[in-house]
Order: sequence, then structure tokens, then C-alpha cells
Amino acid sequence: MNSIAVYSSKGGVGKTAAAVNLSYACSLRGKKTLLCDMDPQGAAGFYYRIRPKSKFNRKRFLKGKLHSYIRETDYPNLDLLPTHFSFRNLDLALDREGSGELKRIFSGLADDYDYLILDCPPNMTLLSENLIMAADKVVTPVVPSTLSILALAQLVKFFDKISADRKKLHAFFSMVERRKNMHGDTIKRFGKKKVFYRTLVPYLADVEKMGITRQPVAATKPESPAAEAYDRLWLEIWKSLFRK
Amino acid sequence: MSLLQVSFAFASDITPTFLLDTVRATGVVVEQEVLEDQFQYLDTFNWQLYSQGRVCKRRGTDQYTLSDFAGLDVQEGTGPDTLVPLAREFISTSLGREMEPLLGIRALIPCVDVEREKHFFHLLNKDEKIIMRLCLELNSCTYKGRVQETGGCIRLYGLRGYEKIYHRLRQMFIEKGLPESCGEDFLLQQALAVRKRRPLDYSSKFSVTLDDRENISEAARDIFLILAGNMAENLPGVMQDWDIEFLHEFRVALRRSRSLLSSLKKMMPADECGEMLEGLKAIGTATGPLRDLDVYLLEQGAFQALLPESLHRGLKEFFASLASAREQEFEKLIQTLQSPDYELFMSQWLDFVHNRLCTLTGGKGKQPCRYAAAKFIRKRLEKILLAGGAISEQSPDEELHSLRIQCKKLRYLLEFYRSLFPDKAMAACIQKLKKLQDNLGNFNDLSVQQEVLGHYREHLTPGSKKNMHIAAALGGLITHLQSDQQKVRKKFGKTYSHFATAEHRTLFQNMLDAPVSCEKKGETK
Repeated sequence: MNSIAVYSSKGGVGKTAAAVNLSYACSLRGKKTLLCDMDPQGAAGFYYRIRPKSKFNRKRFLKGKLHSYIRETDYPNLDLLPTHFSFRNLDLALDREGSGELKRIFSGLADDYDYLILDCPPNMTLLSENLIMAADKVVTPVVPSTLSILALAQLVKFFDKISADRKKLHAFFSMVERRKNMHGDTIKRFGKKKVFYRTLVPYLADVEKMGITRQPVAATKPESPAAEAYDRLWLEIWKSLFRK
Repeated sequence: MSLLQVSFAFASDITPTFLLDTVRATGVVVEQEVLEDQFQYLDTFNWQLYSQGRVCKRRGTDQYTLSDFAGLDVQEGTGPDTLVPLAREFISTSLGREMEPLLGIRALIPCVDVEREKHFFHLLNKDEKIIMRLCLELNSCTYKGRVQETGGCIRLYGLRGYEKIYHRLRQMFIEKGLPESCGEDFLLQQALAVRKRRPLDYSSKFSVTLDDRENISEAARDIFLILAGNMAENLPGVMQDWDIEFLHEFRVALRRSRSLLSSLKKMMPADECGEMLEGLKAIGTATGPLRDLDVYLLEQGAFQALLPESLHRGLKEFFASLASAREQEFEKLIQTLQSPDYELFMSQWLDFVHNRLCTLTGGKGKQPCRYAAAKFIRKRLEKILLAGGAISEQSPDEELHSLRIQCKKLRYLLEFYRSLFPDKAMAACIQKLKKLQDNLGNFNDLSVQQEVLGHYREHLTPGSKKNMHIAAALGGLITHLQSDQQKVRKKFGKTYSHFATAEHRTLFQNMLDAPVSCEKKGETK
């Protein structure tokens, strides 16, 4: 099982949209995929119309008994582990257990799934550290702006600080608006850096409408440029998983 | 594929609305799509697929699906587009490799045509999330120009994380009395019911359950009627030449009838009985040559393996001539079976069995069937022991042939009256006899084969290169067959001694002397 954490310390950069659409793109290829909603806001679950089971909470999650709480989405090969409000305090528990704890918990899913996609909460805490350590790839959406580039630099430092392998960090430009000069300039300046995937995910109403349709873009508008972008991005991620 | 799935069968008197209303009571049901499917169920005449837990379907003229009863373990692919295909026509596909051991030499016969509508539904919760998938299958069959609903099944596919609703609906259907687990076997049964048929309604294995209160002539009548039924059932397959087993089973039923009638001949006037025996024998004679050729043609591969490659050409030419002789014999047989003489005799035979048999057998025919059967069996066994005990290594082959016929007669008697004796003991006796019969049968086959091949070789016109090749191949074969026959003959002494032990004689004796209240088996015919 390969695990991909979609992570950013900043909020509103298209993280959940990416996790939702990437997991869908992965499942379309016939791979057993689990989207793990680690963000207590529960947006990924909302997009897939899935609520957590009433008995699910942080304690049960930490016990590693995830199987009973996973739910099937409406799409073949794609399941979701919903988040819970109590996940906001996961840090406290992880503090006691150490940075390899999430890796241990997720390892129990290896027989059931080919890919695990983690929708991470926007912070830089012990939970983030655990998620980074647990994932084979950390994919971070970057809105083409100075502040986001700074956040990416900060993330690289964070990787060094926690002794995570920098090679597993990848970024992609998200919410790209071609008409904005700053977006164009930023992409031009940084887009060729090794850390960036080539795919640019555009800022489109189709992605925003996911809040209304509550489905991945490709499920409602497969011909949309956004759907195509997420599909290309998935292919890039998939290839990078097997690149040394 | 969902891990949670269950299906419920329903008969044609249950409406789909009734089923869907049950589902609607738990959430919003949205229809997704409707798929139409048309196919044909096929099986061998004696249900070889069904009895091995397999179901075969054909779509169009050549798309085959072979599955187990659960609809899993599926093999599918393109196969022969002949109406009644044989296993050898599925050329080297994985489907063919699967079919061959299941079918053997039997053909796949279309059983029933089915039209299936599959309606797919989603059950949604208040978030409009799918919490269960459903498929409603409605089947109908066309028979005698009329479309008849045969019922169908509703399949529930539970989703991970939404098990509660799945179990709830499952329980609701159970409470409504629908039978759970609707497999392919059940759907086939439903479809066949339209044709007033059921799986396993024909078996190559002879079976009859007799009432031990009947007298011997009544019991014989019951057996004759089953055998006449067997002949009639196999006749269309013989006429259409679907596979060679139709003729074989037709002939077996015929031989059994002759054997049974012979066993009763001392009970009735010689001329009446003799006339019927002659009639049955005539059919046997008319069908014999074709059956012989079928047996040889079946041996082609085995014969080829016996010979060096240099003789294969001659052998191939020999078999080509057999195949052409078979065509001629088949035409001759068809003419016989379609002739007024055959029809007249069969009606006379049925009239004899139905109306005259019990009268003709007179007082002797009134003996209780179990008593008479035991007497027949005992007498036949004594004859075998007498003849078998007299056979030495120097005895002529004819004595073994004669013993083989005696054994066959005993075997028929045991099978006819099996239901009147304790089944376990009877099975053991048949098993012992079978071992002896196998030895004698092999000996006879090898002997007849040599005789026929030798006869064929003698009648080859000398001079042609082709005939020279054939003669060489036949010579090689005869040498092999002679050596094999000697080996079989050598084994006879040991096989016979094993059959005739005091222990086995007692086994027969105890079986025949067992109390009348023997266990009864279910009738399968």
C-alpha cells in the first residue's frame, strides 16, 4: 500500500479538493483506494456525503480499529474513513505515542487497499509530523503567490527539523488563475523547481461547485479542465512513487 | 464486488412492485438502468454439468458462459456456433479446457431460452448517499410460442460502513417468506418448469423403485415401461446424431428389455414371448453396426498411440474409411427407425407390456416379486460360479465370452430388483461383480477388435499403395491388441477367484435372504 498525504500548513489552498479528486482519479484506475479524512472539519466526508458512525472517535482511531468505521463511497474501489470532531485533539495523544504512531495505525490497512490518501488538517503540529512520517509522498498544493512559496520553504525546513526525507515532498500549483500576473510570474519563476509537479490545477467554478454537487469534479463533469488536471496530477504522483 | 450480498428468489406470482415497496420503506429508491439479456441454458442430455455443480449459458450463437451455482468461478468466451456442440469443438480455449472433462463425449443440448431484464436501483439516505445497491431480475421463457413469466430474483449489495440497512432489508425479505440464496441452479429450475422439466430428470444410470407387494409380472411391467421410456427419450438424439451416447443408451435400454424378457420366458407361451424377443433383437441388430463403428472411431487416439509414426498414415486412412462407413450406417439406421415396421413393433411392444404381460405369465407371474427376483439372481449366480470355476488357463476364449454374458445378465437382474433388497449389501455385490465384468469386458473388447481389424485387413484389395499402408497399420494394431489380450487373460484367474470367495458368496446369500423390510431408496426416474 502506498500512502500519499495531501498537506499544507495554510488553509484554503485546495487541499481537500485535491485529496477528493485525486482519490477519485486513483480509484478510476481500478486501484483499491482509501481516502482518510484527518481534518476534523470533515470536508472530504462532506464531499462524498459520508458521515462518521456514531461510535467513532479519536480513541478508537488511535486503537487502530479502523476497519469498522470505513465506509464505501458511491464509486467503485473508493472508500472513506471519515473524520471526527475529537480529531482536533489528536496531537495530545500522539505526543505520548511518538512520531511513528500513525504509520503503525495505517499499516493495518495494507491488505485492503492499494493506495491511502490522507487529507491533512492545515497546521504544523505533532499530527502533521506524524502524517509526514507515515506517508510515502507528501503532496502540497501551492497557490502561485509569494506567501505560499514562503510556506513551502517553511515546510522544507520543517522536513529537515523532523528528519523527514525531503525527496518525498512534492508540490503543485493550485487554484491557478492565468489572468493574474502574479500567478504567471510565480509559476514561471518556481515551476521548474524539482519539487513541483508540472500539472497546474486551475481555479475553476467546477471545483467550487463540488460543495453543491457533493461529488468529485470528474464524476459530474469529466470533460472539465479541472477534472483533467487532477487526473494528470494523479499520474504524476503515481509515476513519482516509483521513481528513486 | 460487494462483500455483502444476498439474493432472494421469487415466483411469478410476486410482483416487482411488492418487492420495491419493501425497499422503499427504508429510504429513497432510484432506478439507474435496465439491461436486457437473452440466453439459452445448455447441458448434456444426462445433466453432466448440473450434476457437477455447473451451469452453461449461451448468448447469440457462440458466446458461452460456464459458472458454478453461485454464479462465481466463471469461464466465458467464444465457442462453436453449432446448435448442439461437442466439447471437442471448443478449440483450445480456457473455456474448452474447462468443458472437456465436464462433458466428455456428450453434446451440449439447448434446454430452455430465457429473456432476462435486470433493473438496477440505488437506495439513498437523507444525504442522497448510496447506502445499498439492488438488482431486480425478471425472467421469462418462450415456450410453444407463448411468453411465460418464470419469476426472478432480487439481489441486495451492501456497502461497507452501511451494513445495518443491508441486514435490516435482508431480514424484511426473510420475514416475507422469500427463499434466500438464489443461485443459477434455482433460476435454471424456474426456467425449466415452464417446459414441465427439471434438472436431473434423466439419468444414464438405471434406477427403479419397485413395490415389494407387487408380483413379478407387475414388477417386470414397471421395469419394461421405464426402459421403453429410456428408448423413447434417447431416440431424438439418435436421429439427430447429437452424440454417440444416445445410441448407446438406447441400445442399453433395449438389451436390458431383452434380458428381462428372457428371464421371464419360461413363464409364458413360447410363441408370444419369442415374437417379442425377435422384435427386440431385430432392433439390436439394426443398431449394432453403427454402435461398433462409433466405438472404433472413439479409439482413434488410443490406437494411434499404440503405433509408430510410420504407420499413422495407414491408420488415418483406415479411420477415414470407417468414418465414411459410419455415414452410410447412420443413413441405414435412420431409415429403419423411421420405418412403419419399427413404429408398428414399438406399439406392439408397449401393448404387450401394458396389457398382455401379466396375463401371459399366468400363475407363475403371480409370485411375489422379491421371492422371484431372489430366485432369478440365485440361479444366475450359480450358473456363473459353475462356468467360472471350470475355466482354466487352457480353456478356449469362447468360455470367457459366455461367462461375460452370464455376468451381464446377473448385473441386469441386480439392477432391476435392487430396490427390493438391502441397498448397502446390494451395492457391495454389484461392486464385486463389476470387477469381474471389467476383466471379462476388456478381454472381449480386445478380442472383437482384433477380429474386426483382421476381417477388414483380409478384405483389402491388394495392389494399391493406400491399402498397403492400411494393412501395415492394422497388422501393427492387431499385434498390440493380441499382447494386451493375453495380459488381460492372465489376470482373469485371480479376478475370478477373488469374486468367487466364500466370503463373497455369503455376501450374495445374505443379501438375498435379508428380511423383506429392507430400506427403500427414492425413485430417480
